Amino acid sequence: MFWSFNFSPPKKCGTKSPPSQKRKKRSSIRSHLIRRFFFFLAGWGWGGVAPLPSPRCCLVFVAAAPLLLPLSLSLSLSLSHGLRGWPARSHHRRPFPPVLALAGCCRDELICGSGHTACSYVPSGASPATLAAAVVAKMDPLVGRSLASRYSDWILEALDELPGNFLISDPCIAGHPIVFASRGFLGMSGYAREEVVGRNGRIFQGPGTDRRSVIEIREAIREERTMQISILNYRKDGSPMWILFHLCPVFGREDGQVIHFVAIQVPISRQSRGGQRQGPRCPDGGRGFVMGTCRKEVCGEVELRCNLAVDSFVDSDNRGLEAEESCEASDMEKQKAVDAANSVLSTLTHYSELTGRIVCRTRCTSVGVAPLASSLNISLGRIKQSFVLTDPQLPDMPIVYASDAFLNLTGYSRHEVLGRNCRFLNGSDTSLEALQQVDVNLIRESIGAAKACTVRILNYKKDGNTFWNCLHISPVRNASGKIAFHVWVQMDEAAKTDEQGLSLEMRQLGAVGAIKVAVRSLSAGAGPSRS
Amino acid sequence: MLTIKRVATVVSNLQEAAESAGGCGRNCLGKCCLPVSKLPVYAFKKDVGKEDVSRGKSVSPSDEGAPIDFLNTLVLGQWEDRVSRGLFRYDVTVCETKVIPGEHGFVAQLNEGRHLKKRPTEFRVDQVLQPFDPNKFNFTKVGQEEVLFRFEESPDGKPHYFENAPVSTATAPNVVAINVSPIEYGHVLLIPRVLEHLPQRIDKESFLLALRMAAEAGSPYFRLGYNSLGAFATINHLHFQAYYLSVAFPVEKAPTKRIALKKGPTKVGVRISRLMNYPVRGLVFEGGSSLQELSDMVSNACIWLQENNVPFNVLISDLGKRIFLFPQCYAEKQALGEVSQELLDTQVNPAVWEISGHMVLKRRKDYEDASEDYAWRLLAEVSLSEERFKEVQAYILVATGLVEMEEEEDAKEKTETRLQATVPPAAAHFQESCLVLQ
Repeated sequence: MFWSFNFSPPKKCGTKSPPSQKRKKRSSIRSHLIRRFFFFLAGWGWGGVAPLPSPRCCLVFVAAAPLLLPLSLSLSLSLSHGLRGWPARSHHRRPFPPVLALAGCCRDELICGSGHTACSYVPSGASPATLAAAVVAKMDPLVGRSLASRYSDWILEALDELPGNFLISDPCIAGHPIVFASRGFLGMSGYAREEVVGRNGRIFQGPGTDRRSVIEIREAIREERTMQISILNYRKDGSPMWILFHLCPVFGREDGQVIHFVAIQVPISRQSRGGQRQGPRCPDGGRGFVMGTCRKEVCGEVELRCNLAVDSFVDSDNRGLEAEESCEASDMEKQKAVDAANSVLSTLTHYSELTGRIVCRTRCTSVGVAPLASSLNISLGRIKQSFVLTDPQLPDMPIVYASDAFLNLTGYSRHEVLGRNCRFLNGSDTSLEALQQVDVNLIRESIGAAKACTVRILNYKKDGNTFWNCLHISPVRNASGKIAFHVWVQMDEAAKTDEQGLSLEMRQLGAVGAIKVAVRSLSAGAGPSRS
Repeated sequence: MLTIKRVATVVSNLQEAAESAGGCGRNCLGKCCLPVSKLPVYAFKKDVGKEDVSRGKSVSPSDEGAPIDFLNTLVLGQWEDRVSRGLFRYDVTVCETKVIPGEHGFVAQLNEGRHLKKRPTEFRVDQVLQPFDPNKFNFTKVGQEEVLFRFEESPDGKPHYFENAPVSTATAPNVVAINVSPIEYGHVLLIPRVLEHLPQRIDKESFLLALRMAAEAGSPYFRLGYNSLGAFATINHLHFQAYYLSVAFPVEKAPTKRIALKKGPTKVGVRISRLMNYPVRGLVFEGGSSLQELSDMVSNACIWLQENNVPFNVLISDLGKRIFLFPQCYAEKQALGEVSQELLDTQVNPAVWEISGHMVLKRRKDYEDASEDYAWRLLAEVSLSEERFKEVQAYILVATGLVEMEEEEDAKEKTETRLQATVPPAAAHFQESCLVLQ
């Protein structure tokens, strides 16, 4: 039932979904799906009919489903292919083509993705969360699954219903991309969701952004701590806006690793800067009460108000602000940021219970394997080469980090390699050849002697195919000068060429260098450490 | 003549040999060898700074784009290669390093290998500009194996890399070489137009080259630094230093106060601020419509300082977007015997890295006892006095063609007449009119 993923019901159904017990969960899922389907139909065809249906009356519509199925199928497909993000829809309204109008889609809106030739028709009944899901589905699968894998599939719509301007980013994915942007944030910044999700948060910085504030944020991320700072960011149209930036890490309970960062962004008004009360403001989207049939009207109105509010915010509050040295948020705005952070964090915590991979706001001390600091994850994520880090302090030297390129090269997924010794890459032919046996011994010896070495070795991918691996192994030291890891950089000999003219060896050594720089600051104090 | 005695840092393996015996031993960077050699060359694209103009767009070039990561990979890969060839005097990653607890987060490193048990030599510290002396060690005497690559502007505006490119005689090659006594991983020297035997003296073209390198490297943890003579540069051959340190320097986190400027006839995009709550008084330059604009402004300031014999240090941070300028007087104080013995005993020479908050200590005791208080006391000695700094700041502003809001009447008059001439004042104009400070 793929449409149930694509189309979500309004709030009443969506937020009820996370149950605490399994049985309840299953029945909830069933009624959830039924409701979703109903709402899909209702919102799309009979949008003006019923306010809030019960699961029983959904059955009526389910009976009619076969008739409508082909159409909904094609719609869903076009959605997943052509959709460019819901905030864009207000920009592109076009006349309905007759065929769809005949089919009853009188309330459709046209969405044209920039640069896309295909246009998609999106029922106005589809909630933003569905579109958010569709946007996310188009992204890098890692980015797309970042939230759902931790907080269940319902998290997107739950987050979408939260008020406030916020972003969620994943430090474990290369480039530390944003994995979620709230409606409020998109309204404020003028970006479409798909323009934001998958990118790094620095896209909002501009020439007037105080570089010191950027460094402060970078340090807070490195040290995995909560922080609040006023910063000048830029909207999509290039206009500046002062915001109160509130960052907080989300930790995994079992291992204390930072799973996500939540960044709340509260616009700072000039009034409050002058010590007065804030003026009227867009109610941060206000989508909470938008439901069922009258969604379009309310939505439109809210958006209109939002836009007006944003516009007037630009005009009255931010004109010439770029010249200002700094900008202090009022206590009210600070409190607003903290409240918003609390509501996002409690939502995340709540939904993480569904997957059993529970998160919390503070790092829990754990007895197990210490995870990699998220700052290290971020640094390592930027390195494009295929490599793994192994921890020589742990029994059998397990892999503690595997780069995306390594997973691509070998065909394994991350959870299949973490915790294992590197020898799973070897196969029958590897061990048969005496020379390689010697090489492998040489690897071991060199590890003992803490020196780097390069070995040509036949390795196996997950699918059984072999490749000649130009393997480079080097010890990597932390701030105290002790060996924290061994880095194993794999290079498929067949893929020797590089479009930029860097030799295989140079790329390999470049990766080693970058890893050494990243690990070098580990356990330097005043930050997270593996201590 | 003021001098101090210190042990010169060995930056090249041929340094010792070069100082004793003249001439070319082997593949060096001199006119004898370089023009007939093949060295890797990285050609950077022409207008890196132009990206900054389109605001609201991705200003940081590190967001995407392969060439950015490329220079990073090249520096690190070549450096690691020299590690495996054993060209360094010690493995810097074995050196312990820590963030000193406290408000500022000074970084301390214990480096017992960097310093030699060698007799200290005498350095003149009261002359910021000294003529090039071909008999002393200079970078044309460096062995070619210590060179990582050449760093040139691309003739066709696109970035290129050639692993084996002949050095043509037509261009003056800028080279990036290792420092064999690194204070952090990736410690390199950028030597602009090595064959031209430029003394340690800032010029606009070279300074822009340094900024370009910072921008191209695309890592906020890769910073470039410059020490003038009299501010702990030991080699009188134009060079910038650079290395990776993946924590923020205390100076980068220090609060700043913007200097309000009068609007001149030309729009100035560069923002100038004063460092606040930091032991060394200094100026911060940032912004500007292009790298060129920022570079010109800072080099004008540097040129004024060196021509008026004020020793100074420069830190290029944040991908070339923020530049810190510190006029300093430690060496002078040291020569006059005004620095306490306790500080001298640690033998820390406060050059650009120390001033920025990265202290390299050579004795374990000092490393273990290192406190914020110690770092602060040392750096406070480096700084000009408040009075003197204000004086220098006023001159720097004039030299960069700017007028501060609340300035003394006479200084204002002077600059206003100059600004009316609508030509952005070049440093040369000032030589006759500026007072030479004692």
